[in-house]
Amino acid sequence: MEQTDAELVRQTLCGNTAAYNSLVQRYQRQVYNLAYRMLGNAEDAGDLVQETFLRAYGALASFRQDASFLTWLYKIASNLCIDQLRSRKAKGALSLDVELEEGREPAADTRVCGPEATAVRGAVQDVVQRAILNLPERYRLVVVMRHLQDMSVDEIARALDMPTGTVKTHLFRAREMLRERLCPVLEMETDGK
Amino acid sequence: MEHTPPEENQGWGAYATPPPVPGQQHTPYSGLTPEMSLCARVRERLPALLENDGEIRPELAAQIYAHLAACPGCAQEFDQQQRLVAMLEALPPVEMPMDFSRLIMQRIQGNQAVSDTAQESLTARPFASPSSASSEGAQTHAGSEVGQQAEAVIQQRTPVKGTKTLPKGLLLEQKVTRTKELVSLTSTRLLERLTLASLLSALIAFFLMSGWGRQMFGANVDGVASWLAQIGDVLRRIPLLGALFAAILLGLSQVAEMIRETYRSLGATAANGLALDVALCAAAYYFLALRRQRGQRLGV
Repeated sequence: MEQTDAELVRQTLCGNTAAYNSLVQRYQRQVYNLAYRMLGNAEDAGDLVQETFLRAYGALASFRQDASFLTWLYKIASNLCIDQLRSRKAKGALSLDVELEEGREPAADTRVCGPEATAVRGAVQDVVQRAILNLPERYRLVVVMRHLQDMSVDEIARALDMPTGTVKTHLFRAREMLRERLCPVLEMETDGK
Repeated sequence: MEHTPPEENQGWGAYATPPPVPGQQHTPYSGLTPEMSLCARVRERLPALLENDGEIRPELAAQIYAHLAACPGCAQEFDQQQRLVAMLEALPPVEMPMDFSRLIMQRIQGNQAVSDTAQESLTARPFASPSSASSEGAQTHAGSEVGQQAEAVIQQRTPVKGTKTLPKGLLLEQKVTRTKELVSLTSTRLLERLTLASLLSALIAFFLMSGWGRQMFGANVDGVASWLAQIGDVLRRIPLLGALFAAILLGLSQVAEMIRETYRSLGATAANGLALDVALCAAAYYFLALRRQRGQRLGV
């Protein structure tokens, strides 16, 4: 029978590192996806996954056993994402377009080359991903968590230490911005319907 | 996320009218016709309807759906919102380029190894400085498993932050162990420290109590005074600044002279008392400094 997160955390605190390994294997994919959607490239996302789990290990004793371990991980990861995005801004980092042109695209993408429809879908997904990456940090976080990580508004509120009302407002504004930016794509889809 | 309008229209049908025809006269009081204001109210609720998290009661949802069925503008708005959400949710999960768990566990174990290595080397060489002890400790263990792990961590891109990655529970446990070690170390080395402190005190006392020592001290004070006076003479030739320096140095040489006179007039008994005081202070300082240094090294 699969052990619960709480059991694995307890064992880790008793010095069993194999238990922590199980937690890493269980959740690294979700954390990677959040980081990738937030940061926009595989390399930074990989670094962020490692840093998140190292930080989580260091602060494991502060984890409340009744809370969701994944939500707690998301909290650490989202803080790290925001730190990273701010430090990029401070350093006057490369614009997203330059980054994408320089090939900092995902190392392993789920798209498969093939029929025309797949290629079009891939292009649309690229446009959507770019639009997400152009959102302000907090809006990006809530959109990614809600629609890509399938978290509820309550879970997002817990992960980001925000009132649920604020999360909803952020979501609404973020979707409005996305609609504005993706207007041509949305219209294209409507026409093609 | 499909939102299909419910079959029943529960009483909101009266309001579920389409938006006004363009060019139609509006009532002046708000700039909005009642229909437009209804559209605005409905649109305000659309995100919550889309969320479908129970914020909107089923009756109200039914009324909104009835309005959507009758109002093409609001229907289009809702359709676009739904389409956007569908587009976002259609983004496929990104595949990881590698399994990070092995790397993460290596870094965790590496951090622990470095922390343990530093600990061991400090215990083995208590008088070495913490930083040198850490690096030398790693060299001492080079070739052994722990040393190799430590080197592997040092070679990694992200800097190692010592015990930062240990869970707090484990950290607390380690601190308790370190405190116990410190206590036992203090008691075992107490005799050694007392001996050293006594020897140092004896040396200072001998120097100050002996005629030779006193003579040396007096001669040195004389030497310093004459040296300062000579420098003052040279500096006096420089206008303004020289005069200032010369005044300072003159003051210092007078202080030196005063010390010399005081020392000579005190006599042997006072010198003995002073020697004992200085020796005791030196011994106490030496003892405390050693203790603090050890405490810092063990991180307690």
